Amino acid sequence: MGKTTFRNGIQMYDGKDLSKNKEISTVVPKGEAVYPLAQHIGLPARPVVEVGDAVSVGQRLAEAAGVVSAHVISGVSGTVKAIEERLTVAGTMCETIVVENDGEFRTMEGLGEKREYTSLSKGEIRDYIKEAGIVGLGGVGFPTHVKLSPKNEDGIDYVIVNGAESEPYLTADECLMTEEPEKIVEGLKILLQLFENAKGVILIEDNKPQAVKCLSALVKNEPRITVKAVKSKYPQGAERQAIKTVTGRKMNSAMLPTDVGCVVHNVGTVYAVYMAVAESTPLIKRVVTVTGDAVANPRNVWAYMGMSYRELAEAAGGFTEEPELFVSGGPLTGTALTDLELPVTKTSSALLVMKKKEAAKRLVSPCIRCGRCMEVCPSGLTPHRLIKCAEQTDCEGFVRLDGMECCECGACSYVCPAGRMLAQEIRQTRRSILEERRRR
Amino acid sequence: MEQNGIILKAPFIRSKETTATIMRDVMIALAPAALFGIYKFGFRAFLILLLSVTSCVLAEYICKKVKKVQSSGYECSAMVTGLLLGMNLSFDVPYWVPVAGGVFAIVVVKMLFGGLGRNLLNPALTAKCALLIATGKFMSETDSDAMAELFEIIIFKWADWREKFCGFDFETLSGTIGGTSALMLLLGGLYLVFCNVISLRIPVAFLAAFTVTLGLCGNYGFRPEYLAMQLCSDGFLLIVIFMATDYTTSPMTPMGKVLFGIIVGALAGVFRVMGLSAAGDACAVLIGNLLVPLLDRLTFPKSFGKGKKANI
Repeated sequence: MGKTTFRNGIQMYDGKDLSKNKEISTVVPKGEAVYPLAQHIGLPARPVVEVGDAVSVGQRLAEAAGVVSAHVISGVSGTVKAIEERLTVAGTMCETIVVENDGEFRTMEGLGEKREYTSLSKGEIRDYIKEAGIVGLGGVGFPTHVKLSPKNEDGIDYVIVNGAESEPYLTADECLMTEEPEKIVEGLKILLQLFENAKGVILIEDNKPQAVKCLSALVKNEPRITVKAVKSKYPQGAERQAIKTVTGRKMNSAMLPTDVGCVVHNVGTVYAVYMAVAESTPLIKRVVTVTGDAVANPRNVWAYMGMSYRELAEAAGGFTEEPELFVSGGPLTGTALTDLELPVTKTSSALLVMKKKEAAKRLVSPCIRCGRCMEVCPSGLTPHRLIKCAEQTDCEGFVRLDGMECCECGACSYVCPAGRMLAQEIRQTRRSILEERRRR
Repeated sequence: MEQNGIILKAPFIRSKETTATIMRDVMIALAPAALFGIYKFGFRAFLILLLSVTSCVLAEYICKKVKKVQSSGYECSAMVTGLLLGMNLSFDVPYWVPVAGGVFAIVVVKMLFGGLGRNLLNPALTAKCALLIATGKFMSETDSDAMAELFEIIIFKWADWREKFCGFDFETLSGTIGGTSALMLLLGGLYLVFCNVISLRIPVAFLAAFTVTLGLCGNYGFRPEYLAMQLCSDGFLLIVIFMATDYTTSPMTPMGKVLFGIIVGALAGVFRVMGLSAAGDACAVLIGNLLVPLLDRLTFPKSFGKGKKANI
């Protein structure tokens, strides 16, 4: 039987060789630690400390301000220096807690305490996850405890651990899977405890044979868990595509994974769940890939949230030549960094430093109707037509052509031989329509 | 969204394939047939190709200046148009014929409709048809031999097959510059498929529909030597592989491509059996070109996870 996969998609140069097969090193944060209060989807967290307060590692700085929200936890010890509006990676201003790091890393009582999770109730597990401030680490940052509390708990028959990592250059999930496979499997077992009727599937692209091997060996005697190695194709890691590949079920943008009986979590999130539930460690650090052709020593690092991207760049040996572009996240879905002093947050998956040669340049050239954008679109859309609607701000036409189904993977812009900014224009229009709908 | 020409919104990387590299690949694919034509017909064939390409490129340059078209980099599309037009002409046409054809193709068929990517009809094919109609007297006397070959239907012996297929019939020296060697055109086609420039959908559907139509409507049934003769006829594969697969004037959807190939192939077959014009194949493709918006609409893709097609 052939490997299951999803419709369309694209295979491309993945640049993963730069940073993989190297041990994950830890970067110790220095100077001030900066915690924006909106590192997740939903309402920004509400501060529970005041300027001048002493804080220690693992202490809650801000609490969830509603159902869909998440705590923000300090990863350093020191004093709260300021609570003020600061610029975030997204380019917006956000209330931010700044902690002056004293470099002592005094920990909260009970941090790192081992816990026997098999005897915990579902409520306790969800509480520990909420306490730890865990959000989806794949990039969207949806609060994990909310995702784990669906209405149809018994109807969930798949818990998918998303280790596809199909985005080029990123190897953070891959390295985590090869270095900490036990904890990921344990984390999945914790999740399976919440959903008795579910099978656990770890989804990995077949360009990570090492990770497949490590995890397959571990789940050999786990009846409820399987490792599924699938064809490497972007965007395999996108939620809807991951579900299609594992279960064959299709969902559109108006549906939630739980509607098709699935819960999908990134491997980083599952690791964080294990740490929170079994080792009483909140989400204060994550694996970040520091890579790109302008980086001296590309690698993966354990980065504490709150530290700056500059510290990450230094941990990777600085730059070999003048960088042209800094990107937070992957090259197809990330965000350009205006400033390296911006803080690493829960959803920062990578720092990508590109040379001028590699970065996509602006071209002005008409569409030649080659059809490549349609061939790669995982949502089965017609990007060449959507961009016309976008350019003419024809929102009605955009919606009629199913533009809202776009998963913003960027594949259309990648392949367009005319260099048209398909994904960029479509994303902008899609988001403004979503914004408009929210306001109404 | 950009700074110093660098795009600041994701995606930040891009495939190395550009319009210019695609056009370059098409020219590489045309090279064997074009070079063979020059080898077979001599220096005059080269001059015709050169005139055709130059007039297309110049016409495009002037049009762009007049229309004040902004462009970063040259897309080479006019070169392909010129090359295709030249290859569709006989080597002994008067020198003004390729020039007139080139200017017509670029100015009237392409630029007046909005330039690259906007033209409804294939420029080189339209120019070829226009030339055949308007200047048929000047086209060439040897063309009538080629036409006789097509329509009076000579059942040739299999011993001549190789000669016919490769275009090695040097004694007669008739036919178009680029169309006499089916072998060279097939080589070019394989290169395009290998480079992912074209899919097999249009050519295969075209050939299949053409063969079936000939078999059913022709007077010789499915006699292989008859069919082989028709498939290798002058310029036919040039149209199937290079003109019918033109991105701008063929459907974008996979299913649309198949339908387009079938319609055009069937029409070409009918025109071959019942028509009397050397421009039959070309007209079939042009009619197909006109159906492209309809075919694209009929075969509009279904969005992932949606029950029904988008309401367009």
